[in-house]
Amino acid sequence: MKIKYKYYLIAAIFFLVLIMILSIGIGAVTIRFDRVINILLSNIGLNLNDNYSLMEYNIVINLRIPRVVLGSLVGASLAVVGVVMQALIRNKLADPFILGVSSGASAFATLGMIFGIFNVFGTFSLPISAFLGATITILFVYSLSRTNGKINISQLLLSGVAISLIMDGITKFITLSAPNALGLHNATFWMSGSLASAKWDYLVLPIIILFLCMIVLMVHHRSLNVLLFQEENAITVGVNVKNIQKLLILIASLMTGVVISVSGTIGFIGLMVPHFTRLLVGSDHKKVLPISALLGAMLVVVVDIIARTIIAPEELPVGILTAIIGGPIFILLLRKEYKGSR
Amino acid sequence: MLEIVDLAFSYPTNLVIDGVNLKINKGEFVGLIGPNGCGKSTLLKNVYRTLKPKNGDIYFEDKNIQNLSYKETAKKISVISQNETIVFDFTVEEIVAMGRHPYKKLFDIDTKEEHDFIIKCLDYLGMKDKAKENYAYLSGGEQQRVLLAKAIAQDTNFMILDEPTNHLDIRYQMQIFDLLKNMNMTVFTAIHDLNLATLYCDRLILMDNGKIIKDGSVEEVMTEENIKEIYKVDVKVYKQETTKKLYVSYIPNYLNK
Repeated sequence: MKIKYKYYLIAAIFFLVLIMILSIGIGAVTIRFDRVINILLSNIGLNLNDNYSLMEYNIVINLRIPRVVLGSLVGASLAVVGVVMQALIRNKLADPFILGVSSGASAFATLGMIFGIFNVFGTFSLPISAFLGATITILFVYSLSRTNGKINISQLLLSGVAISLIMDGITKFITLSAPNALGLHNATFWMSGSLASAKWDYLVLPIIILFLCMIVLMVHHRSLNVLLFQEENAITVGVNVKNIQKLLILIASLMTGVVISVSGTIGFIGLMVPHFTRLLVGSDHKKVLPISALLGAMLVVVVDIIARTIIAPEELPVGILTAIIGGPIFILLLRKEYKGSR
Repeated sequence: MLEIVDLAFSYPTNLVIDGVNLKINKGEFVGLIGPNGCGKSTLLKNVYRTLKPKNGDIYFEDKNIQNLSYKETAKKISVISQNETIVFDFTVEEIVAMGRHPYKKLFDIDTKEEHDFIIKCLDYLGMKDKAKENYAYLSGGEQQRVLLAKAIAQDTNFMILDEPTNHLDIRYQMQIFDLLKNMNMTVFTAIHDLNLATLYCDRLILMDNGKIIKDGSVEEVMTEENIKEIYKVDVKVYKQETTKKLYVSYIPNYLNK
């Protein structure tokens, strides 16, 4: 029995909101669900019951909400980047982390941060440097893994691994030889991903980029479908394959760059979420894009709850947990992929 | 309808087709034959634009196709190409809907009329019941009919077949050609099986080494001499009684002594 797409969409929105509200209450200091609701309501001018303390109010407004919102934005963006890269490469295993794109973005971001190379861009120097790193890596991996116009899976994954190692090496080298003590902290941040430093200011750019890219992708959903089905023969139904591939590279780099600059490397979201989404609604991008975004947001918010409670009062970086969950799924998919190609 | 003038195409290492001139008129069913690697597929790919000619021009309805957008050519020429590897799961109707792509603008929504048209295309090929099914799980013959439905959904009057039926059972190959014969469609098809070529085509074009060797009626092209020269096999060609079409009978070397 196939459940209608509409119901999936409504259910996904409902659960995302629910999980986000629950997540606001959970952490080193637990805040009761009704108090969270009251704080949220008071903020939109509905003062029903002020049974909360000022400390609780401050924790919710200044720490928890930005963190939860950032988590959902990061999750949604990474899931969508996964969808985009899978359409570009026509392979279910494509993911910004696995193909080294995240590492490339981190390496350039650290370069920018420590040496101030990209300071000409002002406040946007960090996301822009990460974006440049992401673009360069995507182009590199993409061209390395194409032989005779076809993507070769082994070559793709191996060049991804190699590039990620090189880029991580560069990141470590820069941070360890950095003149300031911040270096060490930053290296772990870039390489394992964390939402702990979330602030309201960090939310603006990811929101804008996520919505812009989503609109552009939704407008092109038919071309994406054809591309996934036919690749170069997509031309025969009027898809300008070269242009759409350039657009996809741009969008994937932009979103990865922005996400990396606020949260570091959180891996495997782009692999797990689109795969699971396709099991639910098939491969039509009109459905895959919104559902992936919502499920991605949910997944990162949930994993972040675990990350900040499992060894409380200490925190685990989110990226470590997503790797522990995502790694095995990747291996399963890889086995399936090789069986399928025989 | 279609006119190719002095077409040449080469891959970085070798020249694949050279000096190709041909003209296809409205309503013709034209078969493109020749041994493997003779440039049939390359020629067709130049026409349907996945390859860009190195030299020469291709005109469709007197317009140079290089000056048309991809969507414009997709409204005039539909293509069924060699089966591609299917990596992602699509339903039958999602695939047929791809045939409507050239008619959709970026911000268009999916209308009921579009959907009805898609179902009509499937119904025409007896595939309406399979609309919601996963394409990957269909039989080879059914998949072929879905691709044909997608091409029909493009609403063109010129169709190119780039040897899509090669790997199919003879029954399905004939089914596709029969369906095409019944439609009011100009067809340009690469074709491997010489006997299918004589059964269905009005005209044959014989290629070898990237050049057109013969272009004419089935009787003019499908001669014992031509086949001996190009395919290097001995054959007897005679009129088959039931079909009244030419039949190519191969004579193996070991019997020939």
